This record gives sequence, structure tokens and C-alpha cells, in this order.
Amino acid sequence: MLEVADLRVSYGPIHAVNGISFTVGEGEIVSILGANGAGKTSTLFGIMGIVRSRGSVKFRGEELRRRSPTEPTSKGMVLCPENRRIFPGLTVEENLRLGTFVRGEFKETAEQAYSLFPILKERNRQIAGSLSGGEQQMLAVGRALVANPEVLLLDEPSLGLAPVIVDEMFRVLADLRKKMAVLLIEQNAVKALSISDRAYVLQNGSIVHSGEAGAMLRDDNLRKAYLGM
Amino acid sequence: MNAFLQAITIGIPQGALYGLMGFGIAMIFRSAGTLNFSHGYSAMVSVLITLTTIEWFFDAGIVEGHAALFAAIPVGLISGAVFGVLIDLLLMRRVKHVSPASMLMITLGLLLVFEGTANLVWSPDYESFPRILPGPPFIFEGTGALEEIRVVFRRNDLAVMLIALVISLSLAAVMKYTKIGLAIRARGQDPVGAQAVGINTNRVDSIVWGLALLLATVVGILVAPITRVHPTMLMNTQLLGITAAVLGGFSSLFGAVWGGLMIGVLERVIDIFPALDGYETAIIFFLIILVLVFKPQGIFAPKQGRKA
Ligand SMILES: Nc1ncnc2c1ncn2[C@@H]1O[C@H](COP(=O)(O)OP(=O)(O)OP(=O)(O)O)[C@@H](O)[C@H]1O
Ligand SMILES: [Mg+2]
Repeated sequence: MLEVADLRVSYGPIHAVNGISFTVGEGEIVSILGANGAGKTSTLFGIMGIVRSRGSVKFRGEELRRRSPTEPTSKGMVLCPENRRIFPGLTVEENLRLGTFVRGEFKETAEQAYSLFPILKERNRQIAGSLSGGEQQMLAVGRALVANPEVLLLDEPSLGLAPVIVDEMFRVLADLRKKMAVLLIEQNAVKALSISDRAYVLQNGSIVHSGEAGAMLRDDNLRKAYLGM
Repeated sequence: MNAFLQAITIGIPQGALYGLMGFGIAMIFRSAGTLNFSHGYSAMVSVLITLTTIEWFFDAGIVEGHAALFAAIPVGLISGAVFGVLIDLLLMRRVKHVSPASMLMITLGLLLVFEGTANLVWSPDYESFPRILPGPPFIFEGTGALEEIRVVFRRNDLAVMLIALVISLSLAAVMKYTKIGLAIRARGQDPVGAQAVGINTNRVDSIVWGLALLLATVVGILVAPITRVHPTMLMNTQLLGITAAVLGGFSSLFGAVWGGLMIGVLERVIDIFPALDGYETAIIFFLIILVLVFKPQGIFAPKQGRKA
């Protein structure tokens, strides 16, 4: 469904992503794991046309030009960025409506977001900046979901959340499998692997390991070497 | 009492112009992320272009009399928008990922470029500029109990006020109800969030620059009959426009319009007192400092939630 080949992202002299290749299949949850600065966010930004990148990104067999995020988003690749990036001065509902800026019909898709995160419906009229961190993260995921993604790209959705909320978040993500493909970026490797089908390990901008998620979870050497567990 | 009414009558149209200037400056600040010190100077060049076009129409005998002004205005406005888009495409887009300081330096450089261009291509002289509504002023005289009231209202100020009102209302509608307005607001709130919902923020920036400098050109054309046309004709308007934006709190665009109106009226009210003559700017800036110290979000800023 999503095929990335030889993706490269540089910021001037800094090479953040050095030619990585990976795929995400229909209905799959695929994780990219890696330490801080490994190049995870840069990978997503490159795919989405938020930063310039070289290499090939194909969605449903079609090459993406990636000149701006408008093209990938309108085709059904939707990003939920790191650090929430909600619109703090707008209400919860306005934030969700903006989620349908280039794709999705708010009236049809909002119910799904509200049923996954009932708190968003309760706080509909509240200014988003005044939500708690966990609620803001739910809003960020909700905002991506209202665009009716075919592939959802999630950048560290558990960042800065309390353990209980993290569990809830992963339960919701696992449920998404039936409806869409998910590319999940995480530092919380155990949680990510437990809901994923496959995973890639990214280190200094290169993929150093890939495999079936269950096997990776059981591989002690791998866990010690790359995932710091 | 009479002096006070008179101050308000002159102050409101003047303040509306500061407000529109401030609106554009705040828009660029919030969205494109820099304080544009060349704002009034590029508008000044657009006013010169308008004036040259008027003269050209006269010389060529294409349009006669006052109609030449209206025929030339679109040319001036388009030049304003084109300057804005070019500044964004050729300069800002290259440095906006580098640092806010480099953008600021570019706007300062542009100030000198625009001023130099005006001096070189045109001239440092003061040229007169036609009014939209020429003719004698309106004079309102009170009768009976209000006999001492005598307020002079410049005819052109009627045009200034109507135009400022129509522009403010249309901008409000655009920002609230159109897709591009929504994109501009989202871009200002969070650039990465805006891109995550599929907004092409580069395109938004070009539109913001174009729109803001078009607006500045409108202001330039409206003040030109009073200041006359010369390289620093909009220096004061730009300074007070920035002040209006600060007063309104860069967080709300229309705060700038209210801030501008306040400054315009304040300027004239201070004028009433002979002892304060010449201190208008000093007093206004003193008030700005007070605002920055006690209400740094601007006096019209909505209650902000906690930051993400
Ligand atoms: N805008 C930028 N300019 C320069 N260097 C950058 C920029 N963004 C990221 N980098 C660098 O690129 C490398 C990869 O960064 P990236 O944000 O992709 O890492 P990450 O894996 O997402 O890390 P984290 O887990 O901390 O979010 C880092 O060394 C970072 O310093
Ligand atoms: Mg990251």
C-alpha cells in the first residue's frame, strides 16, 4: 500500500535519513523504532512532503511528488505529528473540523473520533490549549482520524502520557487495524511491538533491523542491542 | 468639548489607516514569522507606481481627469501584491527555516532597497497626490445649546473611513468563513499542525505577504494626499501600525485595527493640550511600554489557555 525506497532527508550538512526502504501493507500496523535523533520524525516529514527528501514514495502504486503535504494528505496518508501540534487557540471542535481541511467529511467522520475518545465530545467547546496533555494527544489523533485516513502515520502518540493513558491509547490504536493501515513511530518498543505486525529499527538514519513484531519482541539480543531494554 | 470632538473626527480616519497597516504587519508576524520593517516602504514604491501610472494616463490622453486616479489604483494595488509574493518566494522561503533573525535582517535590507529605489528611479522630492473625494470639507455647526460646536470634517476622510470599514469587514469575513482564512489562522497557530491537516504552508505564506502588502498599498494611496509622496511618506504610519499591532496583541489580527483607532484618536487628543505639543509620539510609546509590561498579550487579547 505504501512503498518507500531509498528515502533520504538532509538538513544542510546533516544527513538525518540515509536511504531507507520499507513498506506498509493493507490493514497492517508497522512500527519504526529508534532512539532520540535516529531520524524517525524526519522520515515521516520526508514522506509527507513537509521537508524535502529524495528517493521514492509510492502510495497504491502511484509515485508521490511530495512538494507539499497537500498531495499525500488528500490521497489518504494522514499524519498525527509528534508533540500533538493541535491549534491551541481554537476549540476542540474547530480543531477537529480543521482535520478535514483537504480530506474527509466532518459530519460522517466526527462520530468515529468521538466514539473512540468520548472526552472530545464532552469538551467540544473548550479551547484546545486548556486541555490536559493526554486530552490534547487524543485530540491530535482524533484530528487525524476525521480525515478518514487509509494510512495513518503516528509520531510517538504516547509521548509524555501517564501509563494508564498510554494503555488506553494503545488499545485504541490496536482497534484501528481493521479500518486502516498504521505506520507507528515509537520509543516505547514493547508497547509498539505488542500491537504491530512488523517493525523496523532505525539507527542514525539507517534501518539496522527489520522483522516480524512477535519475533522481535522475543529476541533478547536485539532488544539489548537496539531497543535498550 | 469642541476641540475634543474635532480631535475624534480627525483621529478616527487616521487611526483606521494605522489599524489597516497594523493588520497586515500582524498577519505577516503571526503567519510568516517576522516583523516586516519594509512594510511601509514597499507600499511607498507602489504609491509611486500609482502616481507614475496616473501621469502616464494623462500624457497618453487615455483617461481624463479624476478617472485617471481610479484607473491607476488597480495597477498600484497589483504591484503591492506582486512585491509581497516576490519577497516571499525569492527571499523569505530560502531563509525561513534558518532563523527568525535572518528574516528580520532581510526586511531591514529591503527597507533600504525600497527607499534607495525611490530616490534613484523617482526623486526625493515631495509630489502631490490626488484625493479620492476632492472638494471642500464638511462643516458641522451646532445650534441652540450646542452653539459653540463647530467640527470640520475633511471630505476625503469620508472615503478613508468607508474604505477602511469595508476592508475590515471583508477581511473579517475572509478570515472566518473562507478556506484560505482558515488556513492562515491555522498556520499562525501551529505550522506543523497546519501541515498535518494538509495545508501547503508555503502557499499560505505567499498569500499572506501578497495580501498584507496590497493592504499597505491601500493605506499608502489613502494617506498620500496628506503626507504627499516621498521616500519616507509611510515611515510614521508604519511605526504607528507596528504600535497598533503591539497594542492589539499580535495574537488577534483585529486587535490591531482597534489599537490603530485608539492611537489615531489619542494622537489628536494629546494635540489639544498646547503644553504637550510635540510629545505625541513620546506619550504614545510610553503607553505602549506600559501595555507591554502590564498586559503583554495586548489589551484586546482573548483569554489564553495553557500552552501545549
Ligand atoms: N530542522 C532541522 N534542522 C537541522 N537538523 C535537524 C532538523 N530536524 C532534525 N534534525 C536532525 O536530524 C536528526 C534526526 O532528527 P529526527 O527529529 O528525525 O529524530 P527522531 O528520531 O524523530 O528523534 P526523537 O525521538 O527525539 O523525536 C537529528 O540529529 C536532528 O538533530
Ligand atoms: Mg521525532
